[in-house]
Amino acid sequence: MSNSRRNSGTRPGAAGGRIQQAKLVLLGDQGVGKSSLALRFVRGQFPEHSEATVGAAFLTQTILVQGQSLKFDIWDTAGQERYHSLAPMYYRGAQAAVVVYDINNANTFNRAISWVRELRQQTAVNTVIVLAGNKADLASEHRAVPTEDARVFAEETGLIFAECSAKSGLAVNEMFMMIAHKIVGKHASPNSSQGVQLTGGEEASSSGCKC
Amino acid sequence: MSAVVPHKKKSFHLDEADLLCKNGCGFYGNIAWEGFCSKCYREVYQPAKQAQIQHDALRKSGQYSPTANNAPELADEQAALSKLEKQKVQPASKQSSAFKFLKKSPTKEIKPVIQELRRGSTESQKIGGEFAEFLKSLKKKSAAVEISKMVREFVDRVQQNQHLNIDDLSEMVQEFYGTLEDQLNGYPVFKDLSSETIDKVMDFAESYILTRLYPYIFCSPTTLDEERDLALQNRIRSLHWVTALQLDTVINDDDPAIRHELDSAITDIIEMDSKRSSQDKLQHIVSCSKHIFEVLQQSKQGPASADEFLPALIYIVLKANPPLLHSNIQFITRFANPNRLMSGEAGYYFTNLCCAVSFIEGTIFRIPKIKSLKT
Repeated sequence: MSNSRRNSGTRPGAAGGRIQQAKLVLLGDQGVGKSSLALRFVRGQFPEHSEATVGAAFLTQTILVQGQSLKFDIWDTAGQERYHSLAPMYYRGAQAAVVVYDINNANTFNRAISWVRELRQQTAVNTVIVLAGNKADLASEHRAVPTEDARVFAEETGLIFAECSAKSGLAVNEMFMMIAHKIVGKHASPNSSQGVQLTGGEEASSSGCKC
Repeated sequence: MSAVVPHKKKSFHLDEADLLCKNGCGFYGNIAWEGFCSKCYREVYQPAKQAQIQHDALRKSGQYSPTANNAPELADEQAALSKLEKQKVQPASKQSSAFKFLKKSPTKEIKPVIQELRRGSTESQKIGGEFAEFLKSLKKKSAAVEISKMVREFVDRVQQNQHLNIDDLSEMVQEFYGTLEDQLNGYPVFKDLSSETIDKVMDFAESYILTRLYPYIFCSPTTLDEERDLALQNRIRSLHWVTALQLDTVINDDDPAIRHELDSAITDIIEMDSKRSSQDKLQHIVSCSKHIFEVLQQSKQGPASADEFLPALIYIVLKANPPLLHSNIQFITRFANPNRLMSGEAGYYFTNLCCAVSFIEGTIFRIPKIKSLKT
């Protein structure tokens, strides 16, 4: 594999008008809702309400951001511990990685932290890394990871942080839009990787994006 | 046989270090490259290869002297050999044949290659015909002629260089994809082509080139692919006892409808080997994966995700034991257009297949303890 093959964000030789492609990989423990987040973003559905879907591990979604079409290729990964060592094969060449944890389960947050550390070491500096606390709809009764803990960690590590819910749709689109803005904007200033955060709630869902 | 082995359910483990390049550059290593990534492998082995070539050339011209060689290990080898020569008074021809053997001369493989060429000629003709038909449909004749000329010249060039090692051939092909795409997007003669047409040209060119060159570049005798294929096949055969349940898959293979989908998935992955172009091979991987999703959906009565898909794919690979699996993966990695592998559905499922194989090769599967023989 030659170097030129290694970070092919846009297609080589692509003219300005062509759709920009971005590979986005979803990481996180089994059952934290990685695929549900992707489904919510792509189809606006939550699996429980859509018997028709066969299921999906690979999804695409094209969005318009800053006047530019951006096509997300979303790669879901198996979250079980035993497959952890295979993950690099998936996130190789990704422009963005969304590390998902369940805010009602502290173990999944610990694993998310180790994912983030690994990604920081193994991927290019300009890879957009997102920490996503899913299942915010259940937080009022079952929360196990304080928002503050996650937010502080995300700030220290320079991540986009969001608490969201694939079930209610809370902050899901906003999170993906933020990633899109970062990817598209990256071409102008490649080193802008300071922490951006998105707190759950009306404030976030009303404003499109805070970049 | 197994009652002694302690029961450990979560004993599957593949160490991360096994996957990374031995050079520590952070990219992924590959067994075929002795555990290095392709770049480091080339850096490490290129000087040795050059030295070997120089050494052989010098030997042929009869001017060889060990001190003149700048590769110390080869000089040592040569010195040791000449010592032997003095002791045993061996004829020089024997020694050089030993060297030839070490170099794994491709000459012995020429015959089968010719035979395979004949077998493959109908397939080459078919894709050649389709490509020509497509080029005819282009409005601008000069563009069609130019494309046809570039592609055919390239195929000839590779055929003339077929003795090169596989990494060099891979690089040649990859470079050609890049040049072709740049020219299609940049040259005035192609400026009327829409981006869809350019994509089609790229697809046809890839199909045509790989189908034509298949006998030289698939499971080439200059590589260790054949040995690796056999090793992987034996490995999978030795794991025949692994059940769907042991892999934690939700597959319910008692149901006839599910069984049917499973068989379709297995057939698809087995038939991948019979296809020549990377697109056709990848298409079989995608189709296999779609059947797996059907299996999972019917087994668990709900949509499946990657958490369920990967174990199911591992299970299918174990059940199918696809022929020349390693060679097929290597072929796609080396010769498919990289755009195909880094993005899109085919790239995603191909990565999963690579992961499944990596898992099968690197994991210690434990035979579960038989709970009770009485019941």
